[in-house]
Amino acid sequence: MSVSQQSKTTNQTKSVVGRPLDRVDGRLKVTGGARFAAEWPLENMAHAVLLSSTIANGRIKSFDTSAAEKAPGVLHVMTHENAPRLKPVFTNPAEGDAAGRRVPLQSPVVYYAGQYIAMVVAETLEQAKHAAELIRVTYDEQPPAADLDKERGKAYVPKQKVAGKPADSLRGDVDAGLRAADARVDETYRTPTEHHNPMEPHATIAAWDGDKITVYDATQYTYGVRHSVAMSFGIPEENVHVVCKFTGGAFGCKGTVWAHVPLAAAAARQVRRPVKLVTMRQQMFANMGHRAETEQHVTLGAKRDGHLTAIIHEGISHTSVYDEYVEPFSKPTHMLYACDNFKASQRLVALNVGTPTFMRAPGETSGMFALESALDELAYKLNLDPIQLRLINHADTDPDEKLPWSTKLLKESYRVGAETFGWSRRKPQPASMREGHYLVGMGMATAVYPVNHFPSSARVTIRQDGSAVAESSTHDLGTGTYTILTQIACETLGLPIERVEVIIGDTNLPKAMVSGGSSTAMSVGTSVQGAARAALAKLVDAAHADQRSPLYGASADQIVARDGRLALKSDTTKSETFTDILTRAGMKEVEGSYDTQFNDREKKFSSHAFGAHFAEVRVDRDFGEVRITRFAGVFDIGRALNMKTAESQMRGGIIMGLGMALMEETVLDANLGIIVNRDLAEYHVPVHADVPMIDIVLLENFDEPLMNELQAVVNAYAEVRARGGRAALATVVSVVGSAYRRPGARMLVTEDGQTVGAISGGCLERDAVEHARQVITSDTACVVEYDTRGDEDIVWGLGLGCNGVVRVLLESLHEGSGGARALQFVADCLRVRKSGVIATVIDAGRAINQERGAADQESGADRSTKIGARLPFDERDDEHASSAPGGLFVDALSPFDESGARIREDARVALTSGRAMTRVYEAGAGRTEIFFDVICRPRPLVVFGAEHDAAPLIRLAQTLGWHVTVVDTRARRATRERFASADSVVLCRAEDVTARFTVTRDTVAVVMTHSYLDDVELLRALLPSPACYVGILGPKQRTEKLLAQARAEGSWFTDAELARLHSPVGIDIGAETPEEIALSVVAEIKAACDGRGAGFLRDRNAPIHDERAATTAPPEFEIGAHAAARERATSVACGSSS
Amino acid sequence: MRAYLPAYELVVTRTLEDALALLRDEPGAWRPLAGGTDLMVLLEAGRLEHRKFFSVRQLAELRGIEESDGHVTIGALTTYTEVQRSRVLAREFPMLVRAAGETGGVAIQNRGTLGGNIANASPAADSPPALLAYGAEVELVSSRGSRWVAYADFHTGYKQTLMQPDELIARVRLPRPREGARHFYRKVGTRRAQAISKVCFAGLAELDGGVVREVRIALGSVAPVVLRCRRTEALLRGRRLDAESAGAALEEIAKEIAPIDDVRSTARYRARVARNLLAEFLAPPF
Repeated sequence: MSVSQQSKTTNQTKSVVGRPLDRVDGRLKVTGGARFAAEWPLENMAHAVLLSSTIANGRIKSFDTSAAEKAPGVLHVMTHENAPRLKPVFTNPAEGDAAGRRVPLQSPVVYYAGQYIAMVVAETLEQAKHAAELIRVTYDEQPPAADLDKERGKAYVPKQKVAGKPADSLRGDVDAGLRAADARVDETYRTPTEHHNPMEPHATIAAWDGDKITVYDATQYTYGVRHSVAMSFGIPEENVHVVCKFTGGAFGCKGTVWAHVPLAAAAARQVRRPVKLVTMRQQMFANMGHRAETEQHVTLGAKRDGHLTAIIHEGISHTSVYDEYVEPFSKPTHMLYACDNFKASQRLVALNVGTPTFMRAPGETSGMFALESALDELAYKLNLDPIQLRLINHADTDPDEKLPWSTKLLKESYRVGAETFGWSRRKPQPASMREGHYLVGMGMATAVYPVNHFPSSARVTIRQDGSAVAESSTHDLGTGTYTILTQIACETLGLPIERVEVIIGDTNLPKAMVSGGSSTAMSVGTSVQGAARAALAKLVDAAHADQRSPLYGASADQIVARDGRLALKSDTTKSETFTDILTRAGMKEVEGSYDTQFNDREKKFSSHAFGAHFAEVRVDRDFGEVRITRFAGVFDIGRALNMKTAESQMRGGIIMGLGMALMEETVLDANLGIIVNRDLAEYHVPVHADVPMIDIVLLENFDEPLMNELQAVVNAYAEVRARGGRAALATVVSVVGSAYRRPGARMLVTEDGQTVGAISGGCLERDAVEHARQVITSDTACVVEYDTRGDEDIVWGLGLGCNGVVRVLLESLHEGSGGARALQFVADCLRVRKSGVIATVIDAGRAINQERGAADQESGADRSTKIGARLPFDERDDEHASSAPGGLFVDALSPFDESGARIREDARVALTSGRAMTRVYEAGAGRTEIFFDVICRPRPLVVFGAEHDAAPLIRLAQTLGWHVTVVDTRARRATRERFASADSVVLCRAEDVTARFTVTRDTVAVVMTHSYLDDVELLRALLPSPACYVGILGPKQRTEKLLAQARAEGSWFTDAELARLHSPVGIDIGAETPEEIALSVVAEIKAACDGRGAGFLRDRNAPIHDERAATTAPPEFEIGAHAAARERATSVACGSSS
Repeated sequence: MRAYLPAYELVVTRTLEDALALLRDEPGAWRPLAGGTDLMVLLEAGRLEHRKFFSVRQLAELRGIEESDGHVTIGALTTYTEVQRSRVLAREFPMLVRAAGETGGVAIQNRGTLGGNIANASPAADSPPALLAYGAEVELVSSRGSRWVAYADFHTGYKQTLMQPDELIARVRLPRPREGARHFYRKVGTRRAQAISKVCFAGLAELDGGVVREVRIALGSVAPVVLRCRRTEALLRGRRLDAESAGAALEEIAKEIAPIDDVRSTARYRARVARNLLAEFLAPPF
């Protein structure tokens, strides 16, 4: 069966990947056309039903199958007494006897309740079921081991590794770590047994043809079924053909070949007819694995400031008595947080249950619950915000693998999530948030999952009719594999969606591994892309060699595939269709294959997807009912191949999480060893009514090229550092008179003279680069003064007509240097969008240096107050200084203890005014000049309405470094896909706006919903808020009407509130297009917030730069002394070495 | 495991008279099948031991909602969906409407009947507590005639009722409560729909100047039968509703119920929640 998109016709072949394309198999699914394993209509098919054991431990003494055998329609009754000998299937050679014990109907031993003990094959399903009921069994019953608590004394060390790690892992010294801790958490966490419960039951149809067999199976791994069946029956793998076109959910339980598969094959061989075997829901609880129950103990040690000194994660989980599976709950703990002292230890307890297996993120689900809960306990003990605690312990590299991360946008996930969710409204005191009957709680947790990939192969064929087919044996579990593979093939081949067919789920196709561990999109997607390229290359070859082709002689890199044609990149009018090329070449089709291999041995990065979850939970005070009322998830998953299916996957994962946190629990009768709630009526998964609105944000577009200069400098330094290069930072620290750039302007200079950012209009850069290379070489810092006031302007080459004195701090950057730390602080400010001030020593008097030097000689350390020493302050006053890692800033400025209070005071002044300044401090015989540089919080712009006209506004605002949030009331519009560049996209009702956002005095709001009623609600919410600017699209009369309506609904606005309203929005520049309107709006916002008139500058009498900014100098400001020197370029002071 | 379908017998009776004749001729042999929402579950599980069924779905005599001066009478075949769509029930018996909306999912509500819910006699059913609090009476018909019994006496033990083998539930009659009465219904469960309740509470109170004139309190899932808490009611009836009388009622209800531990919940949780439900029911403002 094949799938192709029938409903949509599109010529757009550009960037098909990423588009929220509807599922190409959606129509088949909703019309019943999608054929699942049990739905293949084979002729002459018989039906098999399995009988399950009613005891959990013991032996079968006897069977009486006589009534069953005589029942109508019965073809065969199979028990261990007459079953064919099936061969064990080893998953690894070392597992020994377990493989033998897994083979069904081979012995009278009963290991667990529900185990298959007999099989009836009959003409119809009903006859088989009836006959199975007639089988009488007597047992020799033993008391089962069915209680983890009772059996814990028999816990043992697993033979196998735990997610690739030893069962006992140790890093550093946890005892020392705990001794060094100021606070400690010791908590025990339990998770229950849980079951996958896919909608589609496990089902197998087996049909033999001689010694060849076709198996239709509900599986995540067609080639795995092939291997397993071949092994069971001792036949070559190529004799086994496995088909699985659709899988109705799996979640791990269809990744393994369970006993019903060889039994269906054995039945088919016995009755010499095709046999269908569909397992019952109750049997799925016993025989298809589950997540094991766990009891975990987490011990955390931490310093008062939150730094973890030790992590211990240990505990037990169950396995079966006949086989081994370890639920690897300690897996994420190995790598999630930075901590030198780490210990993990896992033990197994054998119970009379079926063997557990991989289920819905094995390890992460159970283990993160324990680890993250313990972290929350610690945050509470230390009086830290849970996010802050996680940021403090953020692992900048993989602490386990000791490798850098390939990508890690975890901090961004926290930030965006906190904002999307409204984390700032959380109160940490227990029971402090209430709403009626409900206690309201907000919580968050880190999300992590490794990037898994497996070797896989695909084949792509371009046919003469201009269509193509992509093939691989992989599976679509409901995740959207058909759709994303179609998109990848379309994009690579330059074909519209409806011309590409994807065929999967068949072992006659190129091999793919198990669709598990979130590996398929990456593994098989890469293969399809490679195969498509290979096919295309053959097409190019045909055109290249064909003199009649307009592409004759063109090489592959000169050709582009688009709209079903190959065209010359340089002249796309020179093109021809795939059909023409193939027809002339006399080829029916061209085929390309690709095998994706991943070389993990030479792995240079640790690859994981990261994210953050935020939940609002309500607990009924009287009844204890727990309800989730809001949820936000932010994920760094790399590139989403299809925004819709990707978000759907995230949402589905969250819903499963809700289920496991609140409802899902398999109850095992501790005496009988029987699962009590083995159906979906009593095993509760969430119903729709339990699922709240879930906001999903995918950070795939986070690294936008749209960034402001400061961010560019920060990023550039990060890159330099990553490749081990060296660089210097140039910072304008004071300006007298006229100059192009203001104090605080920065430029990064690398050792090879590359620059990012600017300190002037171009006149100073060249010289500054020269000085910068000197400071890199000497690893020093100095301040250079440029005086452009004289007639010697021309010396600087450009003569921009500036007329002023500019002092520039130049400093070599290295790990821990003042400049590097300053950039780090800037990066932090930008990331969490806070304001900050950096105090920088730009001149240190000799007297102090000498004094300090003498002291340092005694201590043997060079602790002079250096030019370039920094002290950062953030907006929550000076807390950052005291908690700053390393404390260098504090050390460097410690001689000014007596003036410390003044420095802090001045920093606050700078922060409040938002303007840079310099100050001189006299201490003893010395004087120190400090430059206060302000990092302004990016202007928060909230755009209401996600219509197309919002896009140019958002882009422009982003270029200016503003922080843009898009809010819409309609789900289909407010999508990340549509406004990929926005920092945050939020869906909420107009009347909830002020509840969902923290509106501050610098918030700028632009309303462009095009909805009258929404606009009324928004005006009512926004005008009384502290927002400094509220702009609303539309003519004046409309706004008057809106205001009248708002007043009619009981709103009252003061004059001050109305003064903030700008309507019609924008300044008068004759804007027509959305882009022009955006320019007009952004200009108005900038002018309004800076208190400027937005007129022509030629009409302005005052200097261009606000004088308050240039000469904020209070009396002690002594810049005049330097200005008077009138030196063109003088090293005023050069570090401690001078 | 699903039972063998050919082993069962199902006949369709044209009239109520035919149905009653069937019951009369072979007492205990035949059982009515209405919506089938309970019986089909048993069939699927292979636990439907009874073999002979007659469908009552087509019997018009057992349908419809009728109003009279003092009562509203509901046919036994009235589905949960019909209960929810009835204006008179929504206006005067909101707890029953709420219970119907809490029962199963939409498909079950379209198919399941009020009479079936009563006959199934599950102590965890959703509508019986509401019926008890409304002081319902049940009409049982047989070829011998008809009798009205107080619903509070109907359930005699776990899955036991006072019905005779030849009887059929025909109608349910509810006395119309006074205007201004307090109706309080609350189902406490794991999830927000399609979950069998952990505790289910229905309470009706009519007050005269702060004095309890009439009160009826019923609970599901706290005893072998849906329970009418008569002793608690008696403590309140005729007394001023205040902290003292409410406190006494809370103490009494703890003694009146007999919850157990099972797969859905624990006795301790149920006892505590039952008490809190009563507290909420009795809480001011009244």
